[in-house]
Amino acid sequence: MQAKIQQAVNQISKVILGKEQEIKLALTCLLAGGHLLIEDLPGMGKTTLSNALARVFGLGFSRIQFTSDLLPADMLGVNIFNTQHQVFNFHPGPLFNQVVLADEINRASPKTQSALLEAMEEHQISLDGETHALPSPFFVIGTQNPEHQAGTYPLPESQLDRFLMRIQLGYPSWQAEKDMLRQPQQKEVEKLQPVISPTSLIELQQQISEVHASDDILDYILRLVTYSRESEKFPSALSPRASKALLQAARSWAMVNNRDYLIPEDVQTVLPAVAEHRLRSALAEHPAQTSLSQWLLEQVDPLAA
Amino acid sequence: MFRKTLQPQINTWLDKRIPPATDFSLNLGNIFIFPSRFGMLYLILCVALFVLGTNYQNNLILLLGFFLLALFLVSLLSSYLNFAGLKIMVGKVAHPFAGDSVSLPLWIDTSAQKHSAHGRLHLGLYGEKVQLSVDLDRLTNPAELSVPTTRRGRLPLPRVTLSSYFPLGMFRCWTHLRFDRKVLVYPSPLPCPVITYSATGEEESEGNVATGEGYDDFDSLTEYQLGQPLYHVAWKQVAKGQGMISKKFSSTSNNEVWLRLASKTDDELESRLSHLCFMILEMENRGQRFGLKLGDNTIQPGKSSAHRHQCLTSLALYNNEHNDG
Amino acid sequence: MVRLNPSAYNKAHLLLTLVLCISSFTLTEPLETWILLIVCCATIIRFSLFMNWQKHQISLRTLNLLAILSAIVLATFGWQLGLLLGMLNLLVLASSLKLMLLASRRDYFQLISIQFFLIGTGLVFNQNIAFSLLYGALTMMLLLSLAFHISPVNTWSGQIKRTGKLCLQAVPLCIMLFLVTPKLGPMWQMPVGKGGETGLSDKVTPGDLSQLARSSDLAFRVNFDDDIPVMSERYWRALVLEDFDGKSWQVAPFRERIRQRYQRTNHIFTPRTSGPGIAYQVLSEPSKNPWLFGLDLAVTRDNTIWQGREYQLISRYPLQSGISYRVRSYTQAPLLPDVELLDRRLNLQLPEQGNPRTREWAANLRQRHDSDKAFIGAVSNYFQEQEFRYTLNPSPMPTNAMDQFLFEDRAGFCVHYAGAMAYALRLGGIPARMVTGYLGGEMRGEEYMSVYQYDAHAWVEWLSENGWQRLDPTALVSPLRLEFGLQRAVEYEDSFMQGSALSRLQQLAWVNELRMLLADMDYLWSRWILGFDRDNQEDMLKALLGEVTPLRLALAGAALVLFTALLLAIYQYKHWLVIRHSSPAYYYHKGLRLLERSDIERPRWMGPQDFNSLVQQQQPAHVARQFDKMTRCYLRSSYETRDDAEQQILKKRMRFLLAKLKKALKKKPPAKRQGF
Repeated sequence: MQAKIQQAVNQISKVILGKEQEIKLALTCLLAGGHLLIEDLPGMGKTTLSNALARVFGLGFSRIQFTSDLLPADMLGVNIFNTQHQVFNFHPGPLFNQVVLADEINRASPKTQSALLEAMEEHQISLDGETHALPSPFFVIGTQNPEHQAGTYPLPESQLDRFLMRIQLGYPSWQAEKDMLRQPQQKEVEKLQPVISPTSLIELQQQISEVHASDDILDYILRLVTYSRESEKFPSALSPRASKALLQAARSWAMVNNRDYLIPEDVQTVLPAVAEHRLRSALAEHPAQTSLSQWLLEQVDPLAA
Repeated sequence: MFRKTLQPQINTWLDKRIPPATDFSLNLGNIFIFPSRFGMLYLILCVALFVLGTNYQNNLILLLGFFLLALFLVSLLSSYLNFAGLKIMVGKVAHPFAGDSVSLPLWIDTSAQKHSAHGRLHLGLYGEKVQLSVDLDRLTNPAELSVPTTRRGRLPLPRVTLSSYFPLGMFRCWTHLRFDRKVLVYPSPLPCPVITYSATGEEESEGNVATGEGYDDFDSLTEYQLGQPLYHVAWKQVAKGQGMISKKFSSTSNNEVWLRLASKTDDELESRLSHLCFMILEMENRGQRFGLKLGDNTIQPGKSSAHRHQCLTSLALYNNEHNDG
Repeated sequence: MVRLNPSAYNKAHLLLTLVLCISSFTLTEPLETWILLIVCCATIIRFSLFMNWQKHQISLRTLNLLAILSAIVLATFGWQLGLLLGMLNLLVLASSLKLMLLASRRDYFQLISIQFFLIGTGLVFNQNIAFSLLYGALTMMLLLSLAFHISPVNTWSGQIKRTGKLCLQAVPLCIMLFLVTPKLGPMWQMPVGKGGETGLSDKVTPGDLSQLARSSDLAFRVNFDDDIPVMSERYWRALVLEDFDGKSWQVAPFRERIRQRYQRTNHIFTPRTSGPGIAYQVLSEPSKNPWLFGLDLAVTRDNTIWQGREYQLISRYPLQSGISYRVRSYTQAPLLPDVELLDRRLNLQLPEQGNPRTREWAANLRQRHDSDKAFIGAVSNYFQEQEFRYTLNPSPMPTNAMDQFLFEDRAGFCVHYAGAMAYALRLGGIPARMVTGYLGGEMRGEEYMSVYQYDAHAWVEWLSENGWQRLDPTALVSPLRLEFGLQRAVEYEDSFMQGSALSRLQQLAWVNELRMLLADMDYLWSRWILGFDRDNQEDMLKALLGEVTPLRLALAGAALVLFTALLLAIYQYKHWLVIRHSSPAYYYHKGLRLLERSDIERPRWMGPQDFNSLVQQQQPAHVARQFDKMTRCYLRSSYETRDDAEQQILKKRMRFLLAKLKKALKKKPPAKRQGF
């Protein structure tokens, strides 16, 4: 199984060069059954990454470009009256796909945002009193622009919480970008072969819960979240949901790294992705440059005394 | 009376014995232990039983008396050790306005030592009544004490007294902790007419101030408050059964105004600062961009809550002799 | 005023209530019935408050009314109860009234202190094993109640465990305190509860002891050091009755007066002794009377016991609780009168009138027999020759009892015989007196002898030139009584312990066995717990310290304090002891410290694997290799394995690796040392 994961990483690395860590994190997030938020400028390969992820798992993929006039129905689907049979037929929207790229999520109106986030949370949508289950696995990759721009609606903290991880892709390295430029065609993604079948993906997701977390690890996680609650430095503290997410992500990371137990480094690796967007608050007293999660990591000794 | 005259000495002694810190592990250095009132009664009881047993030459009564006495000794130690298992940390303290009380969150860690602490913990400010009792076996962190504030500035936190009678109430273990943390207290807002200045320094009368709340752009949804116009109600949401919700609109007026400390009035500095504080809050409520000129300190116009904090902080610390008091 | 219910589901209050209720009902005898009723009321009120059936406390006004009423009743009827019982009743009444009103913390603490004291008072009245256990349980309940009061959210099992642990820790200290605290005499005379006096009394009317003979209660126990005298020699003297009014014998008032005078001036009487002595220890049951028991001429060193001039042992205070004392008896020494003239005068005293036939008969006999011996022989002969019968059911003798007994009924009990004999001797001019006490005693194996109330006996002493001589007329009539005890003497009559279910049960072997076992336990209880006295304490100290000198005492005191401190420390060993239960993590941390000393410091936030790769990059290979092994081992133990058995193996391996790491670090030449 682990070989397959490695294979998947290798596959995706072929289309996104020099970003192995981010790819692994994205994979981790997918395996942990959480949604991913990518905060980056346009043109950094967000679409490519989500497309590639969908492909290596053989999952259905769709992309929704969020704009201020996007309505929930555009995304969820509509009931259309079928004159032949005198009934309403449900026409599922683009959300009914296993991997959904919600591009520039902060451009949509709060109404549309919350419809999406509700669907993410509950894995189903309600329309006109009917419930429609979303496909499984269901994985949303949201992207948003880091800079506050005119006409955007930044996601409130409570909704940021729905994303298991938030990562930044960043610019590729000199060498990587050179390699990329050297590549003949951009259509590389289409050529990717599914490595892991959707059923084995579900199996993998189940295996994650069996990754052993020793007492020492749980204590470490608790020390981290408790520190965030006690210290004055953090505008908002890590909630129990956050600590659960942290554990889940760390487990998934351990599995991606072919281990069936957790070590402190797993937690340390996923913490910035899992916690940074939860630690910030609207009260932007802290400049965006300083990483709160990094600071948090530096305060807590991973080894129990 | 006696206590009052000795208070300064006691305070110096306490400062030396339990110096301020951000977190405390209770130990021999900062725990006081003494028989409680019941403990005294209990000792008298032991003596009474001894006398009764001796006078009736009754060994069983003597045994009972000695047993209770032995229990007293044993509970001394277990009382101390239970209390010594605690670790106390102070959490985030909000910024109150002078005269308001601020809640002081205390994070209590019961298993700092090898064994965890039990029983009820009584918390209060030093020299005052117990404010709240928390059960260490069913602890929800943090325990919040309310601390009254009297004046603006950066004020030190008062001493906090923690006490426990565990396990049998014969001993009272207590400690007076001073946390090495200062609370920034804003001046208390005092309602007054709002006087603003233009960027050039001209005074503007109140009427000219553009109201922050406009009618042009939809801003956000807020809970409906009685008295708001009905046409602001977001009927769609109401119909969905989400309760009364009203829409908030704002004008995107980029009018920038300046606030200044009034100089003409005969009022004292404190009340002028209070007025200024009120104005800042008012501006904030109206969604108006404003700047502040206070002495040498100039704060460029802004609108966020961080901006508000910056302004109020400069008010709190303005000409404050207690800056680091 | 409406008071809210602070008691709902309050376990502390419930336990307190139960304790008050139970301890009051163990004191049914000394307590007034109406006070018990009030206790019941309080219990019911508290209980319904606990169950929250009743939501409000009863109002203060109602309670005040009740309190005033009770106070009036107690004041009117209570003054005749005497101080002790009055106080006890008041205590119970007050606490039950307080219980009805219990709300504040202060009330609670006062009430619980009173409860502890009430248990102490209960022990004044009941001291056997069963009651002691019950009172022990009540004490535990009170402590539990306290624990619930202090930390109410805990579960029953948790509280019981914690409180039980505290109690167990207190027990050794308690025993130590009990053993070493000097046993003091009573500091002042305590009031004694009225009623319930058992055993002999200081006034005997014919027929009295027969009631006693039906009681199978224990009177006292004896523990002989070596030889045990035969049954017929075991005359336990208790009271000397020298005053006869024609009907009853009693302690001479004059004797009583001079005893009090001597006691005041502390004029101690030391009897002249001769011949071999028998040493033994007596464990007396609480009789609420002061008199004690001894064989013949009994001498004691105990200064709480007064040596009477009529050869009688008297406790300085009534036996509210059982006591033990050591005695040495000289069976062959004569009982010489202290002041012969006084003894003569007292013991020749006779009533002016009454019993004409006896007077006439005695005068006749005296004329015929000159010598005292011959006269006594003649009287004895009369008892032997006439058909006298030994019975526990004599017919009542309202007037001229002696006449009726000697010449008509000729049936009676030891008191009749002894009374008649002494009277006859006095009529004949020989000083004689009645002595009451016990005869015999049942041996339990080789260990101790129990003397029961039914062993009560009365006999005669007459004054010869060799002092007082014992003369037992009962022996003339019923020799069986002497040899085999009362049970055999009245077998034919079936009057022995009439109506006692025990007498029938005794015939079942196993019941008897059980009874004996219980008696044994009770003996040990009385001997070592109730009867632990200053002598025992001194013996123990001597056994421990050898000679008791001030230096040794001081040393022993210091040792005790040290021992106490040690004991207290041991109880909390988990706290003091830095637990070196050396887990693999412990060795890993040691390894980290070793590296630190060589200037290789782990940044606080760094995880073990990252640190390891850092070490691999920057350290010489031999150190890095050892540390790599160590890290892997640590990762396995702390994060990977779930197996306890494996932890043990890993621990050993860690220890080994640590040693290796130490060696590797030493090998490193200081010049090449490099840190980061």
